[in-house]
Amino acid sequence: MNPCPCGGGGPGACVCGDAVLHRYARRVSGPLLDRFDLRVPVHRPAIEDLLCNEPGESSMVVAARVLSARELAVTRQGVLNSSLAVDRLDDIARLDVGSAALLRHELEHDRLSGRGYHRIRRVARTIADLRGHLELAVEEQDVALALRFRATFARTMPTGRAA
Amino acid sequence: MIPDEAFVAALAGFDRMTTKRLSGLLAHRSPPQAFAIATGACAPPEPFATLFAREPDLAGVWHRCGDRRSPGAAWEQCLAAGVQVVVAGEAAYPAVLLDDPRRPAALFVRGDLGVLDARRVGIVGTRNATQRGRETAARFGFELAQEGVVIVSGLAKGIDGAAHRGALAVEGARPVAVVGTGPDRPYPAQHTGLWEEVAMRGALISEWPPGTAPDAFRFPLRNRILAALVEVLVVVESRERGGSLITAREAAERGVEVFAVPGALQSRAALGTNKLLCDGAAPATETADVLMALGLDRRREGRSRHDPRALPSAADRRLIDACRLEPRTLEALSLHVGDSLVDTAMAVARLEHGGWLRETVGWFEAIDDWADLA
Repeated sequence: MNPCPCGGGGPGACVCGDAVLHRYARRVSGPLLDRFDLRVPVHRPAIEDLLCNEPGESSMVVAARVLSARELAVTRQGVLNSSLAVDRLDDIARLDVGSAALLRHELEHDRLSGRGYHRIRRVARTIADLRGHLELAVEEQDVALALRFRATFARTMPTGRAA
Repeated sequence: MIPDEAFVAALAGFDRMTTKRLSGLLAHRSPPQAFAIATGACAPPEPFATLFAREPDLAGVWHRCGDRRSPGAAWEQCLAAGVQVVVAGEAAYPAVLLDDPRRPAALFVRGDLGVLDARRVGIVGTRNATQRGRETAARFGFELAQEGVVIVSGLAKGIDGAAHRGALAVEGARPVAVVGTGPDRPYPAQHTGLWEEVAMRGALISEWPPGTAPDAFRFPLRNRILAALVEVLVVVESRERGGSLITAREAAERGVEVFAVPGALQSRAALGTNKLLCDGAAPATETADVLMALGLDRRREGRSRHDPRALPSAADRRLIDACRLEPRTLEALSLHVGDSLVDTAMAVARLEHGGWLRETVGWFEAIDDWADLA
């Protein structure tokens, strides 16, 4: 999904009117959007990156990493992180002081729903697994990255801040 | 007894009424006579006989407008909205507009036109502003209002609104708005509160009578009035084409000094302002630049507002500064400061909490201490 009908670009570069943006953002309702674990902003690549032929990381390498993280999760708790029950989160995806403060702030500023709070903890667990972090407590860096994969969508999402 | 102004209010709201036509109608005749000519109740003298001959349907349109829009009803509308009708030539009509080649035939005013006796600076810009642009507008509005300058703007969203919010944050400030709808028709709707506050504390001026809807053609016309009312015009952000460039041109034609706030070359919102600078506008980098043009130069001492945010570390400040220049993505920030993506993500989360950065669809913008007014 594009950030807006004109394809967006950075703030100040979009040419859509408010009404258009509003209508566009309504195509996916807030509660539905809230159920997406990952909302990854994909930006227009720079021209140099398009023209340069240097290959990125191969999908095979990434797939191997994903597979080992999945095995790690299943070995530890019998299910994948996405299926972790809420009552097991405090056990398996415990928050350290820094990450708890981070999420508390998101909740207080209306940037995270109760549902989102549980979802983001599972994502943070997965990020920790991907980097081979075996402790049961996830760390601030895992939660900080998980937050980045939960980008605010358009200008219509509640941010709890002055517009 | 219906006052003369009622006929002016009725006429000004006719379909296809223009400044030139209304001025012509009122030139040598009393408003009731002008109304009779327009609606066909009496034979049109020159040049209206020619006009009606050239546009055969106009007489019919105006005749129907006369039926639909009686002076009595138009007057009721003005009274209900607290709108004063000021006809060119009356004592209350702003002196700065009197000699204007395209002066409005009449103004519909809420508030007190007396505020125009103070020093006047226009602050305008794009509706599609960046966070940074709105903050700059709010800051200029605030600091100029502190010096007793009347801020004149258009109450559009983006730069205009921020400039007025900045001005209104100063106690006793009396800003002026020139709007493109009827004075009782706040546009955009989210500026209704701002609109009312300007009308209450300063003056809200329109060339159009109460009830006039926001039609696109009225906004460029409004811009010429704004340009004619100010001594100095500051354009904060503007795209390559836009209403604020029209205002700047109208200002330059009237000998009003035009300032533009320089912006980053990559920023779309700065294309117009940078172009103005190329064309000879003066750069406005701080309030003192504008004050100097008014002969009010007084270098301000210290910070004018208290910033309650905890100061970030030197490393975090580099991130804020990077986002100040232009909106950045997480990847760009990480490359910029040479830290890992993870460390940058943590720093960015910290700065969002501290109120220094704001994220939209993955883009980060710096928030300055003017954000609450922007």
